[in-house]
Amino acid sequence: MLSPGLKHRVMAGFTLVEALLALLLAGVGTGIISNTLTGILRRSYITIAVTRISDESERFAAAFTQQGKMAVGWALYPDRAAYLADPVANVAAVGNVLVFRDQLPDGTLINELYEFDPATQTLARYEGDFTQQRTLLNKVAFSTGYPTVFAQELGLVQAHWTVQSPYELLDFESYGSPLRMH
Amino acid sequence: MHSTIIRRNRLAGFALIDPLVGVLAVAIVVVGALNFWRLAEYKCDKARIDARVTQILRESTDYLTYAAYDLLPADGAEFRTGFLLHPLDPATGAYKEIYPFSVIAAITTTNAGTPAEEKQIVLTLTYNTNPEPVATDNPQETIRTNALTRVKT
Repeated sequence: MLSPGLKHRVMAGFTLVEALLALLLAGVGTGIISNTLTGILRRSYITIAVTRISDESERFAAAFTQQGKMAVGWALYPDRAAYLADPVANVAAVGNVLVFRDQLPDGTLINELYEFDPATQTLARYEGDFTQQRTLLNKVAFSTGYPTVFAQELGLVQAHWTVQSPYELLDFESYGSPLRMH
Repeated sequence: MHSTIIRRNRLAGFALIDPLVGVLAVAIVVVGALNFWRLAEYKCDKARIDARVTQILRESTDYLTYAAYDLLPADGAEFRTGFLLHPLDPATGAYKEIYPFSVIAAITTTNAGTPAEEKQIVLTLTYNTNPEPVATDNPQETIRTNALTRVKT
């Protein structure tokens, strides 16, 4: 037989401490699970963001290689001012402006321009002249070991750049060589 | 007497086994969540590594395709090394370097010294990653490309 006091106690349900402990336990479990799910979502978001940034540069590299292959001529310049001042006299071995010259089927010559601007940290592609922008990459910097973005070596035109994303540093390089030189 | 015992058991609250089962259930959920988290991390890393490996092989192949014949690397030369990923370390604000890789070119020259000279080039990319999710997995991966042919003339 139970004493009246004990009987009253066991029939009274949970005490406040027991209820608080249960709440604490449930809170910890919920916190861990929600933290895990939040982490997974955040990680997925970062992966998507990095993939998008990487794809932009990959498309830029593909355009570079394709135009390099189809070009009838090319030249490098230290910067835009040098190119605009005298595109013949200011040709350089390395630089931050690259000009491919393509020939359309009707014989028309067209310029494809690539420019890295260290001030704005942008790498852009233009068609015709500097007013017709086709592609723009942001937060671009020089790759380690390369003082300029564009260079050439025995006819091999090349570009090296690094994108400083908020999550990852992304290195890229691209090569092209006009078929007639190749 | 018998009915009194049953009634007493019903009124006695939790047995020792009850909270233990509860704790076990919570532990299983927590361990499962953590493993799920690790697997998600691994899959994200793996996807990023695969994309980076593809990029490096594309860049290396482009180089060998478009470089002047005389600029091609020597047989067995390690012509590119580095790190696959450079994730930002939030604690230091600096980019880390993880998963080292190297690209080696195996070159077979035929008809050497003649106008018909050509080179068969096979690239081997070797890189190291974490062995997760299975600790016995080999952390070193090796990828070989198909042969690329370059003709001298």
